[in-house]
Amino acid sequence: MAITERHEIDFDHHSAEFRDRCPAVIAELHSTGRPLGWSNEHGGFWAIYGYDALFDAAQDPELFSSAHSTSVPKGVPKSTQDDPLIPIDIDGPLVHEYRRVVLSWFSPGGAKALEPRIRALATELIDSFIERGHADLSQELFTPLPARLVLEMLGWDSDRWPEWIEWIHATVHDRTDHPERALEAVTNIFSNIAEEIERHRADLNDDMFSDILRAEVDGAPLTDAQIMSYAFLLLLGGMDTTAGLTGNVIVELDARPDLRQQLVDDPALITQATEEFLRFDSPSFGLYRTVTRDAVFHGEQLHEGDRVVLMFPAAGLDPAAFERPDEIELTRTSNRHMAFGLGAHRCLGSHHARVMFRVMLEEVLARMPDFRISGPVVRFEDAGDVYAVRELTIEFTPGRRSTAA
Amino acid sequence: MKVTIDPSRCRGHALCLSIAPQAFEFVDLEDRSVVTPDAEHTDLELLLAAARECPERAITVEEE
Repeated sequence: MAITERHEIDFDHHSAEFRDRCPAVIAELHSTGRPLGWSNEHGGFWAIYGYDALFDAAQDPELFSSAHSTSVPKGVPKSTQDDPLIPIDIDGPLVHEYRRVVLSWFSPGGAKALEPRIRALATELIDSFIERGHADLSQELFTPLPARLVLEMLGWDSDRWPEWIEWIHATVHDRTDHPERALEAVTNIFSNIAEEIERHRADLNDDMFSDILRAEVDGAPLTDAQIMSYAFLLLLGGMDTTAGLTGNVIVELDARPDLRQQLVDDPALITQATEEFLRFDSPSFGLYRTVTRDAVFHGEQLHEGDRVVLMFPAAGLDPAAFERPDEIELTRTSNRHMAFGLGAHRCLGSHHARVMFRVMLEEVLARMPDFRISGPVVRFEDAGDVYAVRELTIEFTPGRRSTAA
Repeated sequence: MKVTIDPSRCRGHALCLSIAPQAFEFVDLEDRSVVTPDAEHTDLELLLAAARECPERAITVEEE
């Protein structure tokens, strides 16, 4: 493939502009006609946003490595932790060996088995504010639900979700502008996971964390450092992303009463619409790689050590891959989005994310069909890794609790 | 007709199972889908949709 002049872009996914104009910024990148570009921010990095280029990069882990260490720091800016998170920060066959440890929990069947529990959590959370006629939907529904679920799966105290959420949010959203806060949060997370290791070792049972403690990979049990890294990643994946998607979609439905009415009239449409919302409103931008050797990729000369952000949500907005990408079409039939990434690191929680999102949307539309956003939509300042809403105040006609208080 | 999934490409997105549940099943511990014997009796449109929607482009449908 011929090399063209390097495509330089004025782009920073951690900037206020990206947070405030996210879809427009992505549309501008696509309008350049080039699938990737070099930004000089944060010491320089490649942003890959074109559909085909994202596909090719995700399928070529030998060129685009997921590894992270002190000698090859990964991320833009680099990760707060010096040690790799397992298994997202490693390469090769070990990725599957590590994932295997929890695959029975994260299979499509595992997600389906949890649907009644997810429904009960949604009912309970909505019950706590349904009589009031107003709520912060972020703090009272779509942040606590995924957080409680992952803590329950781990066998940890799910009433402690606010503490974990605060640390996870600081890890994700403060790491660029307030690294000291992110570091403090990471320290808290590791020390609390260490306590959970101690508590569970004394009493292994049938929860997911016990499976991780029992697991052998490559013929040996995981070290405490590996266990902490593994659990940390489960919290990161579990706590921020599904909440982000749900908030983005609620904002969209507030602005589009026609779409909302379609879903209220025909809730069976929500399953198919979930794929469209994943294409249009996926929050997970911060997936990173490091280039392993000099190579030409989609017309650009890459160099060993170049850092790369794979902007998977941008694939869904690529006009080369989707007709009318800027329009939400709930019954879109061809919808091969990349909301969960591709390749060996495909989001482990994707099946759970789909179920949690669908159930929360079904419950919101069934119980608060006339909700309207009544306060400012407060986004996390840094949207570069996860584009998400922090506060979302709504008003609605008060309803009745489903269960006794 | 012949339906195949390239095991080196399938990454367990499981969209094929939701589109054509008769034709595919999931192997939990391998984190991937496989073709069932019933696939050959499955509606061609559904099989083509499963192939079209596979994010990893792992599914091939050949009409014999």
